[in-house]
Amino acid sequence: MNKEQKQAQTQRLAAFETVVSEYEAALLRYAGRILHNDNAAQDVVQNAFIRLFKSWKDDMIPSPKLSSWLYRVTHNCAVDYLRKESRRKLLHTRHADEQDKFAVPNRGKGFRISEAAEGAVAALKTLKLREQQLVVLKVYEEKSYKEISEITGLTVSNVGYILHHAMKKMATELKKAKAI
Amino acid sequence: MKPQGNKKKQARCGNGHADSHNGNNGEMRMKCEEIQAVLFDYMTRELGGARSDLVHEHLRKCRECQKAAGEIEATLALLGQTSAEETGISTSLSDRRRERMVRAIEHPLLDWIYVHHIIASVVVAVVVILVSFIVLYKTRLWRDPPTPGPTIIIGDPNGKPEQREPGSEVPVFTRPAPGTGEVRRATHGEGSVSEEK
Ligand SMILES: [Zn+2]
Repeated sequence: MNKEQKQAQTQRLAAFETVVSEYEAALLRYAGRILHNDNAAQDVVQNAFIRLFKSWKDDMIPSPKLSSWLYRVTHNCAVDYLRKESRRKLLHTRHADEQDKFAVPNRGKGFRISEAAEGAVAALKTLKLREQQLVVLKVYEEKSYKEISEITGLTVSNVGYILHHAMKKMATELKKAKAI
Repeated sequence: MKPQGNKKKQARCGNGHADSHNGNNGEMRMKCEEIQAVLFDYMTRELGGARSDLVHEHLRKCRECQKAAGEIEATLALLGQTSAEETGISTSLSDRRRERMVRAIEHPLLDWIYVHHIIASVVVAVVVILVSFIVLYKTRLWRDPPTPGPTIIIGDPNGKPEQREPGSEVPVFTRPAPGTGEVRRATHGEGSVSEEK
């Protein structure tokens, strides 16, 4: 590597650091809500950033396009993680699975939410992964339908349709649990 | 045209709409289904101006749709209670992950080995075994053991073996190599010289 290449690499690394600082919190929140596991979220977001550095060809400057790309890659990494997890769980004995049902979910330090809110999280978990993704992006990340459409590749009307059904399902679950 | 338009709007969301549910009016029920299908869009400000006004007006009068809106609102409120801080989700990557990212960027090969350490260990073990085998073979350190030659035990001249204390060293003499006439004294365990023809 000559001097110029080294300088370019240093500049790219500095730009990368800026992008990481800009998006890490949002992506960790997003992955954490999809995976319900802080440790797994850290791995997933770290991998998404590594992919960004390796495959992002344009200037590394925070932008809506870069943001959508990062959410999309983070989601794909999360889906990969969940697939691996389900394969790993298949190897476990039934006894271990039964124990898992009663295990406290790993949410990291400082976990404290009300019983009703816990019910909302449980209702969110009953949704399909696509529905969960859209609810998290809309409700927590406050993304517009247009932004969600860019992240997911769905049409705007499809986003609205899926969200409507997801919210209906959640409300039914919460009513069943007498949380609302 | 305009009054007609207003008339149409009144038909969709007009007075007495709430009462229509009691009469099981199919057309009105259809309107409620349409309204409820866009309630979440309306509540999250995704609905365009005109349609938003329509929903707003309908909600003012329709109890069933008010109930549906209330459920969505309650669900959203509960979800809102589970903020990132409360659920213990970190807001920044750990130092270990940051180090890993930098290593993956600056030293991709090292990172690959780190991630696939089991495959890397197997590959290294196979390479070490192969190299060791080749070195031993090339340097001829690894050869078949020499075939033992006949030994002559010289003892008593009458043919009786020499009596020795148990455990003491028994002298063993190998047959002299042809032409040399030399007899070498050896001990048990030492590889004997094979006889030349
Ligand atoms: Zn209605």
